[in-house]
Amino acid sequence: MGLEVGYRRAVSESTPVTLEHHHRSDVHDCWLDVRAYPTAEGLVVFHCDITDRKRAEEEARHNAGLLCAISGTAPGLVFMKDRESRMTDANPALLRAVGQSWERVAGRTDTEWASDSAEAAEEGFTGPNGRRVFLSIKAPMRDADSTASGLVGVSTDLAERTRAEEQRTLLIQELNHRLKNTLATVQGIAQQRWRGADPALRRAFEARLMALSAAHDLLTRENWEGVSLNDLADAALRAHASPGRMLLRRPALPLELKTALALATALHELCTDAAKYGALSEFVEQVSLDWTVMGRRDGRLLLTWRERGGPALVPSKQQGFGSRLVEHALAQELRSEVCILFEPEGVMRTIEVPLPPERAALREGAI
Amino acid sequence: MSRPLRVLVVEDEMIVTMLLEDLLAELGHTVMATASHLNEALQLAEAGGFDIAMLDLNINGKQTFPVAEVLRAQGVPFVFATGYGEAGLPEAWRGTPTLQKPFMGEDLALVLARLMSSV
Repeated sequence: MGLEVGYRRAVSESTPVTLEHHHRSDVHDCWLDVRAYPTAEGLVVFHCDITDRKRAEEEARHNAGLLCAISGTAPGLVFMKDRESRMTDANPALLRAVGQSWERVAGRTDTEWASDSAEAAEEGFTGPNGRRVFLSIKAPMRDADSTASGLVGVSTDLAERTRAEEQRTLLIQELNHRLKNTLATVQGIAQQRWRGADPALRRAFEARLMALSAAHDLLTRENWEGVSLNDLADAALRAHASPGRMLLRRPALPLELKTALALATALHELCTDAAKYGALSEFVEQVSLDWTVMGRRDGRLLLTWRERGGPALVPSKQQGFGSRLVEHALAQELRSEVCILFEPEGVMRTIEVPLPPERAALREGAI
Repeated sequence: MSRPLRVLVVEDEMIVTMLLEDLLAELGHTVMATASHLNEALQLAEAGGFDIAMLDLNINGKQTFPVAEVLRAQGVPFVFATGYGEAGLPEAWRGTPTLQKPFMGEDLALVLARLMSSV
């Protein structure tokens, strides 16, 4: 009702009129509570500014609409309960999940409408499509004065996630199984090929295959998401010597797949060479392997392999397949720089591997 | 060397079967029979005539646990040879001697010695 209409009605009908008026002009934009009282002389009118209240109401309406829209479209279950665990609100997803109408669950506790009560973090409901398990997060609902007035909960269907996780685990297991069978087949082919040949040849080949297999075991354990250099070095070195003869200095460093496999192969070759000619042979003292990451943005992993107490070596002695693999394959595959020094106290090798930026950053974060 | 053993090999990869024959021969043992299908393996297991058995977990898409059941009932020691490793065994079979493929002759010798000492 407009202002003028209201005033005329108050006069013509001799009755008080109350109305809310939105007053807009070039300088004003406000809401007024208007009360007009007819008198013998005409009208007495009271204006009261209610702009703040109107805005608060508008906001509350907006929020209620938003809440309704969100809980109505959320795939998860959203519900509210009072202190007696009676349902005070539930979104359509919840009603679909439990196969009940709002009228059936409104104001009732779970035990009144469902066959099972729900208090645990993971809870099941038996609906029209069988039993489904949800992860529920519940929190007390508090009034303005902080007293708990009920409960609010949000539940997420776990079936899809569980299925996907199971599927992934199965695939990884299958992949690993096939890979191992393939490695065994390769071993079998080599065995046929080298029948009657020098057993040392076959042994060296098989040892390489086993090192590759062990590196894959580590990857499988980590779901093929990469592997830590510590685990890799441990596995490679442990296969060749007792712990006392190996020293590892080790800041934690996760490696991506390709780097991990190439390094595993390289470490195996280094160990094999050391066992054959160097510090892990009968003359023995020890081998130390340490590594460090340099540079923050374009990180580089610097591995240093140092042998102590092995027999004096001349460069030509270590030009076998293993050395070539370490020097060339690593250089090509990982774009790393490999350097070998024949120092009086033993062989020293450095391998410098460029790391993807995020790996270098991880390393920084790990300190 | 331990006493010569007569071995049943259940494996569906021909090359791997040949490899096992060679590895076992190097250890002084003899492969008495090989099977690459479940039915064949079951018949051989029931017929007996060998000291131990090596079972691939999965041959031509079928799991070999029924063969393991027969061997267990007859008290014949066996080892699973599988790409899954022992972690891939179902709960009921955990603890069964297992060789993870690929393996070397020494690994095979160790597991056979363990099998025979527990009989």
